[in-house]
Amino acid sequence: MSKPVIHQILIGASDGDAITQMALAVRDALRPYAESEIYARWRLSDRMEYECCDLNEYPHSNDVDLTVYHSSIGREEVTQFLRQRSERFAVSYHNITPAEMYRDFNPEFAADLEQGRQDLNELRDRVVLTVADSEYNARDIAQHGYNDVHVVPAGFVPSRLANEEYDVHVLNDMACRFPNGYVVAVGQILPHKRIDQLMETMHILNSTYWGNIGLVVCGVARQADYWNVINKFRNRCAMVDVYFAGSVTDQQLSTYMRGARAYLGMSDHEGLSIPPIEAMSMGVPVVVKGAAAVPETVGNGALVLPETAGPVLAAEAIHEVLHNNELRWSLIHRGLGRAAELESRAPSQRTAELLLAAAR
Amino acid sequence: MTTSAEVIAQLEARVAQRRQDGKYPIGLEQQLEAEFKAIMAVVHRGDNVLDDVKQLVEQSNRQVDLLNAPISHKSRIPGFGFVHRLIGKIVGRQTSAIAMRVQNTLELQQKVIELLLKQLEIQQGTDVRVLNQLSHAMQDRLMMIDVLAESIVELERKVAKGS
Repeated sequence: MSKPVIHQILIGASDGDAITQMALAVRDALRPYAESEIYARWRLSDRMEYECCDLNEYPHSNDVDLTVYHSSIGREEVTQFLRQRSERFAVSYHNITPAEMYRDFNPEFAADLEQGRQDLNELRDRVVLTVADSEYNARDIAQHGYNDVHVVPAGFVPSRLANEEYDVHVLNDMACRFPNGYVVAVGQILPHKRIDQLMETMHILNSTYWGNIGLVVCGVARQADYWNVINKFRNRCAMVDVYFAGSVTDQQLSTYMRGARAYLGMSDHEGLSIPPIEAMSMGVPVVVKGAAAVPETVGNGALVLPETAGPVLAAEAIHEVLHNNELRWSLIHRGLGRAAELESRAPSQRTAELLLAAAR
Repeated sequence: MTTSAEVIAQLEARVAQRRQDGKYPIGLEQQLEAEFKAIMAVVHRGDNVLDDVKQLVEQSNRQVDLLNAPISHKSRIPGFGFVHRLIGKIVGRQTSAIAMRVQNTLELQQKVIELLLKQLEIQQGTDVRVLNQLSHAMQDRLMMIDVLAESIVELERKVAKGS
């Protein structure tokens, strides 16, 4: 009996992108039991050219048992592609950021987000399996008429970075630049990630307590105008030295994280939020704003600020974590426990099982 | 071990106390947010497309490099890999020649685009420098006007005293 054919579709595949990492983990979990490739409309690095196939080369519907569509945004080219398909679909829902957050500043991006939700509506009747990263995402996709949603963070491996070796150049650079240490944040440089609040928090912390603690932000700036705004605002937050690391390798990312005195997240919207868990898995204390799916994901492993928290409260929280040894130890301990708990759920394997059952 | 809720409650109380003591100025967060929004409002979208052009050039370079890459002979149908390999061998000479010609043409076009991009960057750098110079010159003039205005006020004061 030949193996079932289960392929995955991504709109964009890039290094360091959480959804791409998850798709790769699912593909690896599927491969012993199925023929499985990842097809992407845009492959944004040499590695992705190697790991993923071009969406234009996607096999005919008759040659595919199940197509897994990773939903997080919409693009016209992919919408057209999906409309032409006749095979069965599985949707892996990673959340679509509410378009309202972008309507004023970037209407084109807001339109793509709306397109993503429209795609979900169009695809619904052909979907035989729906997987959501979190309960929050399950509730969100239910609004589009998707019932019986399985909550599995498909392909999420919390300890992914924990086994990476240190990058000594990064360690050395950070030790020279930030002799008093730094706080790390990970995420793309996008408006809803509230990079402005990260800078404000550290600016207020240093103005109030004179700690001269730096801020390192690891993530790609994909919107040139927002990046421009952030660079201008950086001058306003003069009390903090901010280092934007841009696109980094896994080894560099793990070094930035392990070298940090704490992890800080101020995002206003997350469908899952992987970086804080990765920080926890490496023994870094985590302080995060409890927006959207963040509280559900981090559990009791982090100091979760109220959803409405501003930079003053966040600055006090970071100060407390840096100076209260009991709290710091407690957060490290609980964080390691939470990461281990999520790891033990083996989500990649569970997702592979669900997909194989749906493909039969 | 204290819970997160207890720690947050303590921190909120501390923030309230510090606000009362004047250590956190009233409206600090609102002021920062307003300043950020003001910057967002003046940054015109689409003004700087050079980064987008650079990204597209890089993508295009990668695609051109792949033109001569070997094509997989794998097939899902058992034994058909051999057929693919055979067809590849039969038409290989022609397809490689075409690929080579297309690659050469595209590489030339890429060089032209890269030169244009470089020229645009130089022009942009010059524009920014000229703008900065103008802006500094304007600030200098404004300072001089300030100094002159102060001198006039001082002079008027002296004249008033004298009369």
